[in-house]
Amino acid sequence: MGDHLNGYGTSEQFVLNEAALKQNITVFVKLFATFRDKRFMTRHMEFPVRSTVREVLQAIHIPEEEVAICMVNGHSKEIGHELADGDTVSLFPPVGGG
Amino acid sequence: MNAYVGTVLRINLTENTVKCEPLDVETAKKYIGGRGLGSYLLSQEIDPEIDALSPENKVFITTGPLTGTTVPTGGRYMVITKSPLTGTIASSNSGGFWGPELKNAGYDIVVLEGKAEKPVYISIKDDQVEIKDAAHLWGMKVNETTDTLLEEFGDPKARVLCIGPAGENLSPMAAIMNERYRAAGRSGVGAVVGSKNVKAIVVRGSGKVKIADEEKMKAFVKDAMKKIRENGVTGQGLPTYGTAVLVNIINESGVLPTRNFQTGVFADAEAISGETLSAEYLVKKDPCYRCPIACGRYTKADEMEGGGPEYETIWCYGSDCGINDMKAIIKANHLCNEYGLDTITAGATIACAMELFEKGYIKPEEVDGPELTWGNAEAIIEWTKRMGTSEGFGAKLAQGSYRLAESYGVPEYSMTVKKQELPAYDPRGIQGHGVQYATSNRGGCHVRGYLISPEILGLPEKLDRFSLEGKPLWAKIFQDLTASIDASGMCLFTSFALGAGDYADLLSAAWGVEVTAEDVLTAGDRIYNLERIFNLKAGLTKADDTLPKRLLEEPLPEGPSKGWVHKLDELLPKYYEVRGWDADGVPTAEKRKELGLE
Ligand code: SF4
Repeated sequence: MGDHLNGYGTSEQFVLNEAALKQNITVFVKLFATFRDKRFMTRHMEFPVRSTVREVLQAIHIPEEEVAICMVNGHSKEIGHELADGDTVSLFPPVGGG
Repeated sequence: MNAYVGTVLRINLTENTVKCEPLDVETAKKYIGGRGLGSYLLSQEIDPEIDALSPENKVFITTGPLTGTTVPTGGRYMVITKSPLTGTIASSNSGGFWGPELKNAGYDIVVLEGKAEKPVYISIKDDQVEIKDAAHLWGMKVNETTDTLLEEFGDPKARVLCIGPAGENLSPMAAIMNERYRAAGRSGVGAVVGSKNVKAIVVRGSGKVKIADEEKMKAFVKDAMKKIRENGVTGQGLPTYGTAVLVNIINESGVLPTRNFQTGVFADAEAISGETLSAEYLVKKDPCYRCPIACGRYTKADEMEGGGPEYETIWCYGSDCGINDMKAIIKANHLCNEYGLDTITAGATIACAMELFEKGYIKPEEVDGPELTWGNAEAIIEWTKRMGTSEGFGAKLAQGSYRLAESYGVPEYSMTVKKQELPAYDPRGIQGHGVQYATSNRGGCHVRGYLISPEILGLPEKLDRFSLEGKPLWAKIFQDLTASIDASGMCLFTSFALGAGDYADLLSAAWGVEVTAEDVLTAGDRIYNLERIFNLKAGLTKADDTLPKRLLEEPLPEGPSKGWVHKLDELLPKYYEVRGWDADGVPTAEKRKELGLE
């Protein structure tokens, strides 16, 4: 072990980073309109690092095609968007008005 | 006659005369009808510089060729006149059942001109049209007026359009109401009717609208119904929650105007959301004529029940006034319906007053009622009443936020465009929607080109709401399509599911001539330019195509749109360019020629 681990420096540091990578992230999930039926309004949920919105949907049993608007921290994102610790995910079925 | 019924009913109130004139069908088709034809006739018949509340102004109540037909949502009518609020052309749209009833009685358009000596109402029973005394109705609120007239008319199936006390008092936020809860709400059209001493128009018709090709129409209607049902917004979202479902989406995006647009995030949004409205206050749905969407709500809070509230009303009386009390909002909405007030201008004016109070411009000793403090539920209810009756300080509020703020020397606190209150979307975080606000021909308005659809809802495709790229063209196309839908007699909400080609199909079946998607958009462009030319003749200039200073200079302070201002300077020249207007925003000779507007 040693220099071939580009960017990580010593093996001791490598071990530390690996531990960090294994930690879960916590995201705040907010559901709206009919998505709330038999589910919840808001919930803090844990996911493995590098999870995307897709994993959130799987965990709460919402079929991808039912999602019309997906926001992460108030910005519209694709289902494949990778989440970071502390993110807020807001999910809406098709809704609109004026 | 296909799709039109062929008659214009002209009522001269000064001379106390009623005249039927044949509709010029060729001109009607050029402008489709409704908003387009009404704008053309207004431009022909009045000098755009006149005082909106003078007898020289006229009111055109127009239906579209699809009004009263079998097309889904074909129940709309429009009111076109010069606006006392903005000084621009006004064209306010309403649903319900009044428009189809007018056509069934045999009229495409009713024109009100001159001024009656004493209060009157108009009674229409097919070809029996009478101008009747309304002394006993003057001062009545909308429900009482409706009940009284239905009884007098002697037919519970008659449809009543009327103004409330606000229109009688010539408040520039007065609406025209029909079937109690439906409103041609914006730009003070109710005050123009009031200025003519007209209280109401009751109508009952026994005819039927004929169209050219029944077979074709059947097929196109079936197709349109299918698209509306299968579309998530029109088939699911709007039917379940009404328009109020937007509260949470817009708040999550950080563009829900709060405390007179001081921020775009409201901490108590959930309390005033569509989800809360449905769970706790909804009694039933209240759809318009032949509408499968049925976005209309009928709600109850304590002793007050009736139609609404819409998203816009919940917003302006809610987050914009710092209010998290849904009951108070529902009550304020019902009072607006009763007094005949435009809910957007009414609520947003109270919000402006609250900021003027907070900043010390309005002094506590001037205020002869509840304190104008953020979140004061009693204030929104009581001041709505007093705007409706123009009582005490309420009379000052009843002039709208621009005249209110201007009277204190600080018009910049009025969140208006062309003196009309902006609706419920902060354009700092929705750049395309902002250019649409600045260039709307009736001032601050969201239903002249609803860019919320692509920029927030992702329909028909998702646009980055902060990007400026391509937005001027999007604004133009949405404005043009909207103008044609408003002219056709259908509800704008169908456009979540239908495109220009669908409207073209429905018009072809109605008229019996080939109509293409391009024709529909060109007609919309023509209507838009016609309105623009009216406004320029009325004295408006490029300087009026702007946004409140706050939105151009103060970045949003928090939330997902934090740090953004609206970049109108960059967007406006490009918008003029895609419109075919010169650098001063004047349609070029070439453009006018192309649209047949010389
Ligand atoms: S969508 Fe709503 S406003 Fe439009 S016609 Fe239907 S009920 Fe009326």
